[in-house]
Amino acid sequence: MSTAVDERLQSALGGLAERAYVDAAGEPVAVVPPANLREAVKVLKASPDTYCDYLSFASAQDMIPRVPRFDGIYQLYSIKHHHWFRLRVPVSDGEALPSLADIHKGADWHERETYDLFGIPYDGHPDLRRILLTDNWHGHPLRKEYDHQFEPVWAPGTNVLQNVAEEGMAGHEAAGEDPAKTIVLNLGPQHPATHGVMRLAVELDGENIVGCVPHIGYLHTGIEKLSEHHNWTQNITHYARMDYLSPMNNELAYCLAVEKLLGVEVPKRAQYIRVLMSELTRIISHLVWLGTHAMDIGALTVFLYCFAEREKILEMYEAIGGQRMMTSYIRIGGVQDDMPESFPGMVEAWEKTFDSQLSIYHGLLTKNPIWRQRTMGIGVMDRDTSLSYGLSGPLARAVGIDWDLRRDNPYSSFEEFEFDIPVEQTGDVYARYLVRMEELRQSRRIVLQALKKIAETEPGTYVAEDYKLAPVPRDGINASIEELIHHFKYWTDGIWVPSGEAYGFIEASKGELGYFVVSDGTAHPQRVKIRGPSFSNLSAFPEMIKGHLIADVIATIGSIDIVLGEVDR
Amino acid sequence: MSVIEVVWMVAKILIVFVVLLLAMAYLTLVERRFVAWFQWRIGPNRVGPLGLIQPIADGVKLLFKQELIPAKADKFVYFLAPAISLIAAFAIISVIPITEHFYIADVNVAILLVLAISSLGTYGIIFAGWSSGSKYPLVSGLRACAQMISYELALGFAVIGVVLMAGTFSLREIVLGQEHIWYFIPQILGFIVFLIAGVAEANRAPFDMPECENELVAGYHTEYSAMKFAMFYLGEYVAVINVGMLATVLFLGGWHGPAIFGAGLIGLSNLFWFILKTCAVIFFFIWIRATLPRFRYDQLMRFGWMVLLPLALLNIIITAGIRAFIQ
Repeated sequence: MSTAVDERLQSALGGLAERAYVDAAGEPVAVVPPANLREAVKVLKASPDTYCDYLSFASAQDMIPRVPRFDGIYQLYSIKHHHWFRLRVPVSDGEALPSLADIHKGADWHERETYDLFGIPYDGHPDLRRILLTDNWHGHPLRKEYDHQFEPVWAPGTNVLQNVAEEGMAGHEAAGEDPAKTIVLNLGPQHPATHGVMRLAVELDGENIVGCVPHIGYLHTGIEKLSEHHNWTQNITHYARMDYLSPMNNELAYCLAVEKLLGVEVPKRAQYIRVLMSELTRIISHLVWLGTHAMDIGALTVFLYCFAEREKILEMYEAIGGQRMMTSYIRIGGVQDDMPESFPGMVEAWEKTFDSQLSIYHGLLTKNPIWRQRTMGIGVMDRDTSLSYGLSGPLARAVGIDWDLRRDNPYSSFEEFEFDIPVEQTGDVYARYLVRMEELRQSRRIVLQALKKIAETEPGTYVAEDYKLAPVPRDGINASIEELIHHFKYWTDGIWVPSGEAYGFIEASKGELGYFVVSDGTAHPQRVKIRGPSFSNLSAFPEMIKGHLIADVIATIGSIDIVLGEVDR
Repeated sequence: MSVIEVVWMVAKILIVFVVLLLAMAYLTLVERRFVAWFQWRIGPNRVGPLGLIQPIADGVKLLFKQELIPAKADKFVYFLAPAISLIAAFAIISVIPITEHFYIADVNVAILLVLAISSLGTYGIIFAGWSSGSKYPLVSGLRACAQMISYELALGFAVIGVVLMAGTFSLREIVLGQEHIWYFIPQILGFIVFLIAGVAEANRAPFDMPECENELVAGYHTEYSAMKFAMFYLGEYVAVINVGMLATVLFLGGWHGPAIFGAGLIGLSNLFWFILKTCAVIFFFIWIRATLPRFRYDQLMRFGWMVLLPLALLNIIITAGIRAFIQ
């Protein structure tokens, strides 16, 4: 496939690209000069061969000491052909990149993030402000020379708290004649319905929303920067903390990316265990979504039912990996440990009651007239806007985009599983609800298939038999000097990953979760860019709630299913 | 009026007040326990046997909490609001006949009084919203204002059916009129409208717009703390009890027991039936709170004006028509 795609890329881009190559995963990359970037993206979007209608993310990489210093990185995808393209745009320090915000609306936030973390300005960007860090921040953390210990993080004399009060609409107030007609209400950072620390500055005319500016970054923990300082294995521990409601999915996407760089073959048993755990993860993530979403709309009981159900799966987590939330269970080359013998019994005991649980949720909500009134026709997106913002996962499927990475770009042996992908057409909160409710059922189907498949594989083959990747078993250390050396090297240096770049992606519970990793051949990543689905999904929020009421803000946030840990990283 | 009568009157007021206060305190516990059972939880059971001392612990805690008053609050109105809320809620009990002979006052326009006082209670919420000097309470106050107007109307019209049946405004005589048939049977439409509007009147889920935790943080009492917060809380629960008692008196036959049990012991069994019916209505309130999602503000208004009000009017027309026909 890769060569065919490569040719298509070449023919579509023609003279726009300086050169093109194929990355470690066989995906085509083109190097494009800044002047040609907009043209190249437009051509890729329009050309029937490539048809890249979806911008996965826009980011950058600090290539110091190379001149020009930075590479702007654009990951494109075609919903129609299911292939990836990456563009690299070399740009020197201080030089601006052209903004893509008018071609792909989703680029807006991604460019702001890149500007924030790298200091690369964008020409023609509608609203170039910092996004993850506060406006008063000094420096750009993802630059290699950035070191907060030598620079004050805050400019001298800054009133940190003042920022929150004054940012407000950030210059986005409706240009009405009468400024006294509207008030600006800050929903958040501490608000019962923002699911974490997010702030929505909402401009209100009565209870009608005139404008909305989301402020994020309150939970920014610099995971991408930290990733450059820890070794490849240690990094896994960060990612469970990112989307803390679906920890194993985060780990899986990262491990897939690193495995692409390493070119390692993961044993079948490990792949099936990954499928099993990733579907269980989808279920717990959706259960928390359903619970909190229902609670936001006032159905408190559903919340507690969902958490009771989630508890059963967290116990399985505990049985298989020893941890309930911050699992670090999925490792490079496989998983941390084999599935315990009691595990299938636990899953079976749970799945027997799961269907009746689902029907309880359906009974409380699906046909409930209040629920339908609250969700139908609210937060509607149409197909084109949705694609333009880079919405993925259940949000995309709710507007009729029949796209699921598990089926279209299968990873971890998903092609061997049978499952249906629910698609709804209306694109409102209710459609998203229906899609996720059906996904819960489908995930249960996959879990059962995975259990069967695991039973057919040989026990003990849970990680690649390569002691450069996985720790040596205890008895091996005593047996041979070579394995002792492996043991020593593994625990001191970690894994050395050959230089190259790869994009690991999965269909996480919230959408397309991707890790773009670059290695310079050492034990630490050179760059890890995390494409969190919540980030892109949230960026479309102001569009969704145009003309709605305060109560709809709450319903819509719930339907996006954001986890701020992932939005802010 | 003799001295004994005066003493007896004061005693009655005290008894009713204290019992109502205790009932309110334990209603919080009962609600928490019931909601917990609905939700597969246990609920508060740590303080005292079965958690029975929990309301007292809560009360003591609220009493000793620090008072925080927002700097931009309109102090006088800010202090006035919880008092209005509480007094209005307690005042209603004065005209409710608990048994045939045990009541504080038998007023010949009792229903009008009840409706008037419960409207006053709304001022507590509106004042709280306006005077807090904060945005969430403000929005909440506006919501409360609109909600009360629309639901009070439906509530009032639902009651008129009963008044037509009984031919009196006195609550005691209304109950006496229900000796043979409780009004919720001929007045089923009115009863349903009354219950729904009653839930809205008491600001409870799914009509808890003014509070609406997930949207407005805590609504009108966001900026209240300690005992002033407790007063709103008290007022709200007393309002729930009031609606329960009113439903009992107006539609469920008040102190009359079901005919199959006969007259029974006159005094105590009357009290028993009254309390049982009130509790049943309150349980219904708790039940729907645990089951239903919340309305949206404009849908709530539409529901009030487009569904409840026409239904209540229809009920009046039917009742009046039948009355005219019979006579």
